[in-house]
Amino acid sequence: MLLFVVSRILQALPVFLCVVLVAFVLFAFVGDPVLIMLGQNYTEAQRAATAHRLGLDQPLIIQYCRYVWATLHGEFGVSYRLSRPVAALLAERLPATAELAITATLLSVAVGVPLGVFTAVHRRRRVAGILLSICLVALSVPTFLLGTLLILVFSVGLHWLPSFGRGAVVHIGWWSTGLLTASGLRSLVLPAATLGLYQKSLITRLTRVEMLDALGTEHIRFARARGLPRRSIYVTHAGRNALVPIVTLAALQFGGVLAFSIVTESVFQWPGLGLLFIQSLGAADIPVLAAYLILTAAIFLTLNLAVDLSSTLIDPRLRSSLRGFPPARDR
Amino acid sequence: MTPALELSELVVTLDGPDRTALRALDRISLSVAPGEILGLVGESGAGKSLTGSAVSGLMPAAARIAAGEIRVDGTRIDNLPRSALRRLRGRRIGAIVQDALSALDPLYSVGDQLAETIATHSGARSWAEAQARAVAWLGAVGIPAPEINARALPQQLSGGMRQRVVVALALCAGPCLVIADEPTTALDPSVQAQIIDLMMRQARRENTAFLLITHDMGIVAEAADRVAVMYAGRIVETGAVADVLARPKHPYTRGLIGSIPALSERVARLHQIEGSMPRLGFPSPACPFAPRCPRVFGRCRSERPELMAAERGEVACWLWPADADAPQPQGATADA
Ligand SMILES: Nc1ncnc2c1ncn2[C@@H]1O[C@H](COP(=O)(O)OP(=O)(O)O)[C@@H](O)[C@H]1O
Ligand SMILES: [Mg+2]
Repeated sequence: MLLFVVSRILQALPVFLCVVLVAFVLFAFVGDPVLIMLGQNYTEAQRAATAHRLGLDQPLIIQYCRYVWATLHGEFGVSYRLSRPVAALLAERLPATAELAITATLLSVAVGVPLGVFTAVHRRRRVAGILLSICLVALSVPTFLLGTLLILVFSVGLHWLPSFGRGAVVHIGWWSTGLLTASGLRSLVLPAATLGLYQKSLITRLTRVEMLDALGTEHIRFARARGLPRRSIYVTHAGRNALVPIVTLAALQFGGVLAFSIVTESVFQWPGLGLLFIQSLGAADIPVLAAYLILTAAIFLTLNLAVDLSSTLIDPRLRSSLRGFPPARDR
Repeated sequence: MTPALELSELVVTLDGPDRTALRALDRISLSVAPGEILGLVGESGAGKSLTGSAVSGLMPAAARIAAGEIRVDGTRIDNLPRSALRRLRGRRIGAIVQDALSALDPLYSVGDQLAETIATHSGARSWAEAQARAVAWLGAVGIPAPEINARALPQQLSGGMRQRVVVALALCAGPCLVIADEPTTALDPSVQAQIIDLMMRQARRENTAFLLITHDMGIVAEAADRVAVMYAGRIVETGAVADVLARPKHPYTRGLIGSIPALSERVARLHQIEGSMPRLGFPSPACPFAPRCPRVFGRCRSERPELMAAERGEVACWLWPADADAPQPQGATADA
């Protein structure tokens, strides 16, 4: 297993270096950071000093190596817009986005998978058809529209839930969490629902298709013939057979959640990475954008590894260590 | 003695297009005594599997029982609610299927699948006990090194071993009736003989009844005590295997016997049966076999024969009783 993990990390390394290269190219060639930092009036000496301080007078290859080195140490330079270390900015914003994205994903899985199983098992019932139509509608509503609608109904209309911000947060080390306060939890509801609804609908539909597939197999027919209870047929057998693609989708959709969180965070003024990204984009704050790119890539690669690992746990056929099992032969 | 399985006048329809109902099984009557192996034989599409799945309650979605009764060990089961049927499945009615590879869940070891079935049906006090009994069953169906092979996934075993696992799954709850649908069709001849031997031993030792579905008269000759021949959704001949093989009454049965690959000199080798079975949904007043029958005569084309007692068996053919107004069945005597 350890060997498997190490080999996967080694496979991911070139991809990661490529992403860092793209981030570096952004960094080195888009706009002139010196001009951005110094504004309109500066002397040649000031310009040279700043360029030297930023290491921009070195050959490109050296700059790239230093960039990789710094990246590996979690140093992403200084934000042009806020004149603060990017790493500190990210660390400040990461908890908000992480809590929002993870809550949304967990919700979408917790609701989407059972709904998918239900609509597959009861495929001939009318409720299943109605639920699926709702999913289809949910898939076609744009995130910003949904967020705005939810705010109109639950904040402006009913005054049940706050419409913006994170509420009160508690600091645990450098991590700030809204999960431990009532106002933090209440603030999380609408953005998480907005962000999770699309994913939930996607997961429901995939789960349904995979379950229908699994339920149609000969081994499920035989499981019925040998009298296994329904729960075992739907969960232990059909469910596990349908699980690998569902886990893959849920994990990869986490990327989609991060992307959509940019919109959601703007709608709800959620102080996370997405909001930071939008603001940095407006200000052409290259160091922040480059760091965001690298962070996203790192998250994706980690998720891929997690998917590979969990797939081998779910499906023993994917385990190479089992190939050597001595098969019994016909006598 | 109560038969382990009794079908009386069973009619199964298939939902066709435009709300039509096609008669796929037409008044099937048969019975299997405890410890008896009944071979249900016929060409592909005759309705053998449909008969088996009507008993195990796993018919295709389009199929319905339109009339008749199914009794298992004296209890009527065709009108039971689904939940009650589910409790019978596996426990009273075992099933052996043709394709063991697709019938086993690829994600669980064969030992776990067997242990789960055992735990479901018998009050095994713990998972460990269920697993121990699973290993014992694997040994009982002739799997070598059962404690090691119990950990194998289905796809890691050979075809013959997998089929033994399926047999163990069918037998582990001690059913009174086993529906074996083409249990040896996918196997090599030498392995076929072993699986047949396994079923015969179970029938003798535990008094288990078998409905042995096959298209191969050779398997029937080897394994079954009695045989029911099926054609186009009906039973056209029944009798003790020895009687039917020695003196088949229905021309269709003669054709099936003719296609046994080199059995004995005694059985005349006839032609392969020409033509094909009529499709469902074209009910005609004629005998369904008439268009293919080598001994067809006038009455066959206008009137359908019913299953009737004839000598020691039953047959649905106008050639019987032999003293009727039909031409004498010379072929039958020539074979003897
Ligand atoms: N799932 C199904 N849906 C509709 N018709 C079916 C289905 N399965 C079988 N049939 C029809 O039922 C008849 C009997 O089939 P089957 O019992 O499988 O025959 P056998 O087992 O003798 O080869 C055939 O005419 C076949 O076309
Ligand atoms: Mg069949």
